[in-house]
Amino acid sequence: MDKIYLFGMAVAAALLLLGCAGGNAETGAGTGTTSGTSLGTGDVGLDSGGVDELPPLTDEGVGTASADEVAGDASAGTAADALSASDLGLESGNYTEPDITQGEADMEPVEPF
Amino acid sequence: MKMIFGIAMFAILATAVFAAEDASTAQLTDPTGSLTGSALAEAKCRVDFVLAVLDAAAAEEIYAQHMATLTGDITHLEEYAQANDLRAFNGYRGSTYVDHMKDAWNAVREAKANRNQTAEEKETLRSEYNAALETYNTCNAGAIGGFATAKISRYEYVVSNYEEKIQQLKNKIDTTGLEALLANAKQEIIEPLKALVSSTSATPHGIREAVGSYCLMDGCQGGATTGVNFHLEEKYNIEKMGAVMQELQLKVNAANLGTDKGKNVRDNLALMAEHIDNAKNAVDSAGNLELTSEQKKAVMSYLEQASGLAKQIIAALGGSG
Repeated sequence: MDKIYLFGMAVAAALLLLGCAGGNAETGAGTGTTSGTSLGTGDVGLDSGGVDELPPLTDEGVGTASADEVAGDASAGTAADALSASDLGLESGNYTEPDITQGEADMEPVEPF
Repeated sequence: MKMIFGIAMFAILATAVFAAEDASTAQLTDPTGSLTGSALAEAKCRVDFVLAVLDAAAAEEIYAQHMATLTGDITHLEEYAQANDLRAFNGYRGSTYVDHMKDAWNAVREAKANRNQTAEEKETLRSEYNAALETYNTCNAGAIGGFATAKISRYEYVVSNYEEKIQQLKNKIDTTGLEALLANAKQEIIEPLKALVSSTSATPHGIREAVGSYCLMDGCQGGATTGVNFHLEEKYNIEKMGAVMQELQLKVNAANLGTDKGKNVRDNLALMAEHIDNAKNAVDSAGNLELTSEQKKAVMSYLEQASGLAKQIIAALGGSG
């Protein structure tokens, strides 16, 4: 193969690898501390259904876990030590979908003739 | 020239790789927008229908009055949809919009009562009504079909989110129960809904019944006779806290805690089990019925207490369970 052709391929490959590395660096931030096998306080948060998640909350209650373990489940939407009864109790059932079944009988068409 | 060709070749290959990657993640797109859009379209179909009938049957000022009211309703619903405020959307659609639609059909009824129609007028009205009805039926079938498809997609999206969460817990707790729960959710809600919606004999009315009968969380008011509310959110949290508790029990048994600390931790574990049982009993007592807001609050309160205890136990174990 022609040397100049190979050089072109090599340059493009290097550029591509740089691009991929950048992408990984971006996504890595959300998952970096979840690979451990020990159970951290971040793992015991409650889930709100995967959609319409509540904003992260602060819990100043218990907190002797290490920083890594505290951040353990952050990528799943449950920041460590983020849940408290006063903050989450009333808002947790926040999954909602549009309801098109209401009032069916009240909206029955009327023939005008 | 050859160097440019080399770079171009590589760019094509790289594009193909990224495109494949996009295709694999596309299923995780939240379909809430299309679900809300279909609900909005369904409301618009009804408004267009009643206004067409009013236009044919009632005096101009009556028509204009209802047109202004119902157009305003659609604007409100559009605003709620754009803001993704589905609670407000449902609240408005279920009360104000339904009331105004009812008023508009009553206006048709009154126009009919107050007018001595000749045979020729009746025939004209019949023809106009049938044309409006046909347009409505087509519009409604599209909206309902779109809604059902989007509802299924959204449920699959929600379940896939839970699957990801389970993956992240897999090395930390026993996730067998959580995985079985998702399998049940698919089997009891998503699959029956899919079957009803995709049935060749499905009518718009039947599809509307189906979407109101199978709910992954709550919201199906069909009740014990036709509605199935799976309460996935609550069941997932209960199952997860149960698995967390079991894991903590193992850790506590293996830990060399002092007498006082050990007793405190074991007391907390017992209390945690009690809270989880209470939450489970509350959900089980609802069965397929919707959980009331009071029940939801009670369940979450139990779970929050269990979660708080778990945090204390983990702290007592030195920061990791």
